[in-house]
Amino acid sequence: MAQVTTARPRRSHRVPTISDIRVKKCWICLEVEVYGESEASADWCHPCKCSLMCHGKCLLDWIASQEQNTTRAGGPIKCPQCGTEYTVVSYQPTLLKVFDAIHTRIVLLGAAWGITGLVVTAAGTVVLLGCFYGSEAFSAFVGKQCYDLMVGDDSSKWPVWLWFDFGAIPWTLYNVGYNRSFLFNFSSIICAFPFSVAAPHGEPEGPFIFPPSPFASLAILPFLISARNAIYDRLSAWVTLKAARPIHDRSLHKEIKPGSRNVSLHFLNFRRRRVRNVEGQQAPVIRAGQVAAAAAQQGRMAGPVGDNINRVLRGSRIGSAFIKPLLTPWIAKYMGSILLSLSDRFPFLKPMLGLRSRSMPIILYKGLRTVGLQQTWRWNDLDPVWWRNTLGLSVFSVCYDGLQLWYTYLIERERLSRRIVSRSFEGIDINELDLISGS
Amino acid sequence: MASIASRRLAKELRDMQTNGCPAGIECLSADGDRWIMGIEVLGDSIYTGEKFALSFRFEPQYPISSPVVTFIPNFVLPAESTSTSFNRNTVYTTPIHPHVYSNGHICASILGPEWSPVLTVVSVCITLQSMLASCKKKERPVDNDRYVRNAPDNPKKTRFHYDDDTV
Repeated sequence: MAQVTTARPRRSHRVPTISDIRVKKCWICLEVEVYGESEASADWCHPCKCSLMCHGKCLLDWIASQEQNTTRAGGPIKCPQCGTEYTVVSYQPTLLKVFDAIHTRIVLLGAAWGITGLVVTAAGTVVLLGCFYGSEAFSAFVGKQCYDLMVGDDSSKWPVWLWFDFGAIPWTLYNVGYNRSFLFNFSSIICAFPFSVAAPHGEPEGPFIFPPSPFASLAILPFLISARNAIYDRLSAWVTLKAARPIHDRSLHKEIKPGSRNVSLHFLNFRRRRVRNVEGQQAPVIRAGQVAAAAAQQGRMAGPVGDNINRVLRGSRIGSAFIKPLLTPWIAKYMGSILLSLSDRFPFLKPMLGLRSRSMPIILYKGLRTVGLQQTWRWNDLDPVWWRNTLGLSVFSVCYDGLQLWYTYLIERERLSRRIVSRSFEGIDINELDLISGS
Repeated sequence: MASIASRRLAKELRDMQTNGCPAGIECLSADGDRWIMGIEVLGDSIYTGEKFALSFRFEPQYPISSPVVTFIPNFVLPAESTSTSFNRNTVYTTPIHPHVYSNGHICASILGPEWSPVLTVVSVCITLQSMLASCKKKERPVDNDRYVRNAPDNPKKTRFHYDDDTV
């Protein structure tokens, strides 16, 4: 500061600094200080490479506010004009640095701990839910007796790989859930469980027992599925052809009376009428908005047959992608029990379902397991729940495919049957119309 | 802090009065921490002949904190104003511009994260003037209706996404 008075004469000998400047203007508070006119402040600084000068306090305030500013992109704080990084020196004793380091690590550790905890909890919940689901699905599919014999009902005694195996079942089901047929879904549950199944302890039974063991059912599946796909493809081609036939529906070709208020209602209702097959049904009064909505709905359904189902089901697609495959084991179970109760009424079903007159009581197996004795058993000793469930699911799958094809057919028929309804010129001045002479 | 803000504002105002404002920019009123500036795009542009009123509100931390700047919808010149270019009987509205919402909020980075005290009321006006001048098509921001329905009173509370430097 001592050189202030001698600054100007010696300018050529050295590079001037802030104290050599006559008129200083702070770029932050815009305060001006002219050399010699007022009391000199010691706080002036020139922190960058351009012509901007400022008060040290003003700049420190600005830097502090920028450090707090969360919307600012990270990085060092720079001069807004020349982009030079500001250099700040400060008193930082070792203890402060130690405290800083500890604080930073605690913050990082806390964040890492929190995130890890969340991830672990979420993953653990998903895995546990998956295991629970998998064991329930497996139990539903193979039946309680078989389940107890193979894995036992005490989950604390399960080996580790069994947890993984059960946990994998819902994901396998979900992955194949995008496929078209329910057959795919139940194939996967069988795919998942051979690893978890203890092999029978009895004498080998040979590959051709009836009903087949779960393993043998697994071997049949690929053939079943490809057969089903081939049939389905042919049927949908046939349905497309059928849908293109001319429609002989009297209600469609009925003359619409001039002046009828229900012209658009006819269009709106004809699908409903055809499905219900009710003639002369009184059409309700419908406002324009509903007509437009119905028209939009019908427009959405237009398109080739293959797309129709997807279009109709678009809204529920996410739900069905999860729910449909995950429900499969229980669909199999209930279809299986329906078959079982039908077999009481129709005895010819009994041999198909592989039902036997007696099977070993579950209690016996459980007792043997608890005392640690291994009982010799064969697949044939068990009530073949998995086999009737497999048959039941196949029946369900066929019905489902059939209904789907039928629905596709009806949608396509509706689309192809559309025609525009023509109105009379009632209410229009006849002189404005250029009519064919003589009519 | 407040005194720094008011002293800096007083200096900006005096500077405007002594040196005059750049062409197309005018101070319509300067009442403490609330100023109103008029801007007009000069030369050939889609806004030629239109005038707009900008409201400036200064927080006590000004110039460390940026001013709150919005276009005034339905602006009528106050009786005490001495403006000659703004008409007393005209209602001025906000410009139709892809970065200006119909409630007057402006999506401009210099009013948000890129504000620095080196900017002044006049330089903000110049920036907004050139923002209007470079615009090729009069249209509102795409999310205008949604934004205006939920917008906070203070646009500084909005987290704008600055992505388009060309308009």
